[in-house]
Amino acid sequence: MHTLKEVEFWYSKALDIPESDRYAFLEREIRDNAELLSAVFDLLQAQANDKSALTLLRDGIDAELQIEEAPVLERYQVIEEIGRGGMSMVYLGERTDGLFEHKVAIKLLRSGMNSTDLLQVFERERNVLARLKHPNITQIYDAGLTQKADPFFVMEYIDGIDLLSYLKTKALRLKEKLDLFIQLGNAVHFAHQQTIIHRDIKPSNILISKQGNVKLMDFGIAEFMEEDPSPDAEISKRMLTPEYASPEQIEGDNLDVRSDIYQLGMVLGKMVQETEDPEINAIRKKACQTDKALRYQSVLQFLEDIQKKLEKKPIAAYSKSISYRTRLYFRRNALQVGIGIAAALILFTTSVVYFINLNTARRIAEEKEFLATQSLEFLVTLFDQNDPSINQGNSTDIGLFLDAGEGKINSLEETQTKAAILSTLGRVNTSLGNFQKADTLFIQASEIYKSLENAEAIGKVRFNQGMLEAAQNNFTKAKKLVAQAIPAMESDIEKVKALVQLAELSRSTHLDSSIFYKNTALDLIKTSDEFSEKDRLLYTYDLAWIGYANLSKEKKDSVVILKRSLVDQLEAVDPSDFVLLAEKFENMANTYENALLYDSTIVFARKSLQLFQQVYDSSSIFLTPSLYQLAAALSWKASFDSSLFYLQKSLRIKQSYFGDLHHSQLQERKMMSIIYGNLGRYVEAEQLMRTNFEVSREKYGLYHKITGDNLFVLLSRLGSRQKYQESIELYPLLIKIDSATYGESSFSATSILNYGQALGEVGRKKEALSNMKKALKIYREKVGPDDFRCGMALFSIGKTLKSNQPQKALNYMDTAVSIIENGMAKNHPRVATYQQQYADLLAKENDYQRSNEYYVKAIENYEFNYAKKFPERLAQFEEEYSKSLQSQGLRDSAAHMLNRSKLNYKTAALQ
Amino acid sequence: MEVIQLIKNSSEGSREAMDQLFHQVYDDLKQISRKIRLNWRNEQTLNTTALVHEAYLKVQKSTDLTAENKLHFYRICGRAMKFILQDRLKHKNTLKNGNGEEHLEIELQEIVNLSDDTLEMMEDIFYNIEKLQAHDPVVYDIIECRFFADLSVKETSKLLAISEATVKRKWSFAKAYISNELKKTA
Repeated sequence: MHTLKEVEFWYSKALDIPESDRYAFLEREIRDNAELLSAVFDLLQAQANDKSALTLLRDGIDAELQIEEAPVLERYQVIEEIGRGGMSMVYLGERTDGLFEHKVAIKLLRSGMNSTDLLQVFERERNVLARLKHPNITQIYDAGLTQKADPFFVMEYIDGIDLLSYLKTKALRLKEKLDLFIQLGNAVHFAHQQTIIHRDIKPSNILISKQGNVKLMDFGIAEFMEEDPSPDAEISKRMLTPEYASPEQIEGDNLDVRSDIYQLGMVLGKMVQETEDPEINAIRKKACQTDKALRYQSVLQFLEDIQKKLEKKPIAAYSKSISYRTRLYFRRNALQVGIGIAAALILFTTSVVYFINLNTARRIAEEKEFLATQSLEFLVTLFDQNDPSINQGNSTDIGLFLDAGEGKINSLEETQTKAAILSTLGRVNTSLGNFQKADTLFIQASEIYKSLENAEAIGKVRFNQGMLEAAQNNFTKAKKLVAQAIPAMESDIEKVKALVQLAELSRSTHLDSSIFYKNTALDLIKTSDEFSEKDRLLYTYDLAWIGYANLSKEKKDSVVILKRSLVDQLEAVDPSDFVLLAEKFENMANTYENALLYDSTIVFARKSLQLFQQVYDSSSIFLTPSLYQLAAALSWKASFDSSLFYLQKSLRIKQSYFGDLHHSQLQERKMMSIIYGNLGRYVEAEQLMRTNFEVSREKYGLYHKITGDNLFVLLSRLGSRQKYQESIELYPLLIKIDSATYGESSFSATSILNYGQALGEVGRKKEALSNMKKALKIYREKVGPDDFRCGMALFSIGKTLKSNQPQKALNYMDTAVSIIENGMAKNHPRVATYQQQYADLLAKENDYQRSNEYYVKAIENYEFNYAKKFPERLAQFEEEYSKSLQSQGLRDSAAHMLNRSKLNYKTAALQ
Repeated sequence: MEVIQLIKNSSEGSREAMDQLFHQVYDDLKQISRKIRLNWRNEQTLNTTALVHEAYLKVQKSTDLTAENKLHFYRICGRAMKFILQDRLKHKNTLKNGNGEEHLEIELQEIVNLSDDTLEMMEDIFYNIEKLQAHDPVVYDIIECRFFADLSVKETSKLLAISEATVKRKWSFAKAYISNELKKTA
């Protein structure tokens, strides 16, 4: 006999003994207990086997735990499960045949649940939904059988949450709750009109979309009134939810609309739980009477009572508070509030007009028109003030007010007011990137003005339509519209605004007309008496930039100086207009960046950020242009960590507004990618650009400047990872995009040059050279022979010739490097990489004197850029140079250089 | 109570916190498994290690757990994993015996979709684990850490406050014992 303890004891002992002696040891120690001996032997043997039972079990479990197979549907792809009930599953899906892009919800009868009864229930819901097309009822699109022959139907996908969760997160006021309830009531009323009773109205079947709209769903046990009692009555009864079931449902009696009314009453009770409002409580009680004869007899009656309750609020109260608020707004001047409140205010203003019209007080409405339009205009400037690219997208609040605003506007009469609001909403939608919607709104506004024969207003709408086209990069169309708008304009300020836009729109393509528009505008600013000092400065500032790109270096500098002095004057004239100044500071930062003056860029970006932060909170979307500008300048100064910090901050803000993969984030990702490239973090750099390319292609289409630009950077990333094969396949596509978007320009030349370089890398030298020369030719034509880009092209040619024609290569490089040195900012880190490469080649060709000269130049540059931040890089370079000196026999210099290198390595290690 | 607080309290020995945490993790693991299994957009793999790790990631996001807390939490995850597997076994047996409650357990059956062979092996192993637990609770603790929570020898030694050598010895013994017992019945 033996115990497990003994087995463990001897097993452990044996394990400590070398394997070859174990058995001898055990036989010696416990030979008198044969059973124990054999038990320990068994364990030792089991231990020596390959895999223990535990490992085998783990392997077995892991092999069998598997991702479930996605149901296979024709035309649709299932993405993930979003809900499941007793008999069915609901999935999020997408249409695969490209007919439309909407996400859809797919309701699928669970495999093995296809008994006749359940099939009937399922089919019924499908038929019910097919009959119910209402904005507050989930819509059905399609139906069919899966590959496994399970029936499914496809519904509208609502990106939202159920009623109770919504109420928990929102803290709505009573009025807002009642508005939601009215939407729900409308849906149920509509169903009743179609002779359908829902029978299962409860909070979990009521979704609130992101736009704040109610969607009633799950008509699984709904019933057609005109039919005999359903054969599935038993099943339906089993499925009902006790908490919300009407007394007659629990009894199993026949049901009519009053059962739904009871359930609506229960839902209302849940929604207004804490209310002590006696009227609401009375309404709720009436709906939930046990005796159905005592309830409301129709949903309409029910809703009427609620409506009455809502309308008891005197209209006067609204108008009082709005004028108060608007005044407050104007007085503050600075916008201390975010988009959300602005949105609410627009909504509010529209509501006032709506309510007044409802009460047919036309006269009052017309009087209010001025105020309404004024405040709308004012709020639109909130969106207009900033770079439209950052306003694109929908935060919940913006979407909410736009939808609501549009809803209300449809009930207005065809007046100036309506047209003005339509036009304003069009502008808001333009700046949000909802181009289609904006277009429709402008057309509607224009129609009304046409019928009123208001030429000036038609002109204004046309101007806005032009801005809409410009936002979509349709510059020719945009120019045409803006030019058409000008003659109808009566105010000189409006005209100048339009001329500024025209000059801006022609800037890159028709320089002459651009300058003509600029001068016309400047004349008008000088001669007209409509302009205040501030306006004069402002518009002169906006015009200063026109024609900049084509000026000589000195003239460029004088433009920068002019702009700076205008900004200073603006600040002096009105130092309290924070938002305006912050914008101009940001623009000034951008101007300095263009002039390669990065220290000033940083100063102005910070100034702008500071002012914005005084007006908005620190995570406001309005901060992002300045954050980006600051990051850009820092990255030029090789302060990569700080630059990344600001980029990430900007990215996070945008993500919180617009979601993870919004096109407004392209610029941040692009710059991050470039920085990662500089830091040698090529994998991340490549990944960011792959994302960008996808996002831009999705949003703008393939043949679009933005898509092309992102593909361009992606290709440089591929180059850093030496993925030349993929590059060579993609470059022709990029060149095609470039020629469709930029035509023959320095941009397309750079793509061609890079293509040449990639070809060179895989040894296709002939093609490489022909592309590089093509690029050089375009550069010379477009930016002139002294531009650093010509240097880059010449350098590439030299590099390609290096192995076969070293002398010719050196000639090319010599010209190239001197062009680059003169054409790029002094101490730009890229200059050094060219100098270093050139020095390497010179050393190879034994021209040590010149080689050393360029090594020294490069080292000076590296020291300037890297000594503090990347001492290791500097150290590596110094080490290499020291070797070169050594091989030239310059021992002392070599030793000196090596010492410097060691010091820098040490600094690096300390960091 | 916040998960973090639960983890802290339970690793300081609060029985109540431990129970609450266990139940939460038990539900989390099921939910995570479901999520991975039914999301065809991600290419996540589904296995026990990944599940426990995901459960950990979920709490790790929001916290400043000490190394000890972290190990403790892993152990709870392992324990929850064991109970999920055990409940799945129970389910197999209730089906066999034909008595009710199948509805409630359908979900578990779907989440832990194991073959009968694997379930049978698991049943045998669990039986032997119980025998080992009766023999020496420390051996059981080690199994919980090493097998169910996937902790290393070092982590196990730290968490259980026993030497690494003891962990190694007893773990080796447990594995050999179970393998041997299974061979006997095979």
